[in-house]
Amino acid sequence: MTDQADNDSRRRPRAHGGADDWELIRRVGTGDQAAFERLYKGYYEYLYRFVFQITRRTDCVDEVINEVMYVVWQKAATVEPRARASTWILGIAHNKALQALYRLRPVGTVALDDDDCFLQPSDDGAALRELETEELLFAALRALAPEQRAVMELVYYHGLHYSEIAEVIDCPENTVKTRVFHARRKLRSLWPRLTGAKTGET
Amino acid sequence: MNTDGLDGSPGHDEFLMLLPWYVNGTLREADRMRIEEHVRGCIVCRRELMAERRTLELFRQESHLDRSAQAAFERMHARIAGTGRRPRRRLADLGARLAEWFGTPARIALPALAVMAAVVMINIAPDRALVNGESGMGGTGLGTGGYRTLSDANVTPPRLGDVDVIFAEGTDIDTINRLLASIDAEIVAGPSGAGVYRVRLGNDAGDADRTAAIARLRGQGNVVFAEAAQPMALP
Repeated sequence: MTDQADNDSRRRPRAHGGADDWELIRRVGTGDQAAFERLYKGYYEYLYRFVFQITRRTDCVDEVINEVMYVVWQKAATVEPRARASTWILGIAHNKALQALYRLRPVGTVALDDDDCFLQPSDDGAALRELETEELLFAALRALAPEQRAVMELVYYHGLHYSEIAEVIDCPENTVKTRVFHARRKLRSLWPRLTGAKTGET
Repeated sequence: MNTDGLDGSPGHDEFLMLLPWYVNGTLREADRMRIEEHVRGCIVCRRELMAERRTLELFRQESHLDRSAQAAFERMHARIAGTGRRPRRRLADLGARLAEWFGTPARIALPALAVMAAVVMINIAPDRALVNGESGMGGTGLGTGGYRTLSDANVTPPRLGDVDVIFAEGTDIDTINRLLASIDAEIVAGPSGAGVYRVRLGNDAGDADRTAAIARLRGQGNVVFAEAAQPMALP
């Protein structure tokens, strides 16, 4: 089976962002609270992982989701349905999650940038080997900057094209490709066991 | 050795860059076929492709995060109910409603249409009756029972400092009163059948004051329409 055929069936974890979502949003814009509840619950899990991946904190995810959906509630009547509804909502979530992360960051911590690595292979190699695969992924993702985690989640979990990701995070397409490329390299250096490659190979 | 870059076609690095979107199935057909052709002859990219497939599988595994949509939504619902606010109405939608109501062409500009609607409403007897016999200058805020219709003969004609306002559906009385107090205005007539209130600024209000008051009203999420009740004096 080619990658295309294999992935067509699981391109996105959930069917989101189609015309039905815009119709729900239109009804939310008229003050339809039942539509808003349906939209909220439909997107909750979709947003939960994304916000958690950025913030890496469970204590603020619900609050961030509510911030996101409050913006949806306020703007539902005026938003122009240009792209997918999920792209619009993910874009709001991306901004709100980053704002929450930097708001919650303890005083005195080092500013995050793409070159930071908080999980040094030499320090945590033994600890990593004991983790289950899923835990290993989550542990390894801690090593990435929030912006890198965001794009990785959008590529691999949400299955977005780089043009869609560029719209979500509001940056050029080449920035998306470069950010993903560097994030992949960083992850590979942390868990070669998962890639099936020997230590030191990319 | 891969020599793609020598003949102008995408180089090796670009193939590496695009692999995540190859495995997540979003690449266009032409790009996908180029990658497949390249991978057939490049062991580095073949190995990278295997790693990318594994990465995709890992990300798509079900996570075990503890989450409850219902509990979170209840907090959301309380927030929306507590503010008493409704989604912002798009002025174009309001214009379309008014256009439909009056049978005017939809292409008429909203400001002109809204002014027309306000003028028409002034001359249409609304449902509500006078509650008290106050003069046109004695408009009181809501909640006191002292409102009058825009068609009432005792309502004085629009003054220079008058503004016609429509609040979003569901805006409570206290919010309206607080908002008007913040711009030193009071209701002198309304609401009409279309929900138009005539509010009047303080005695010394001039064009600039009214312009500022209108701008402030339009900036409020629970105000869907705010226009001068009569044309302002030209500079």
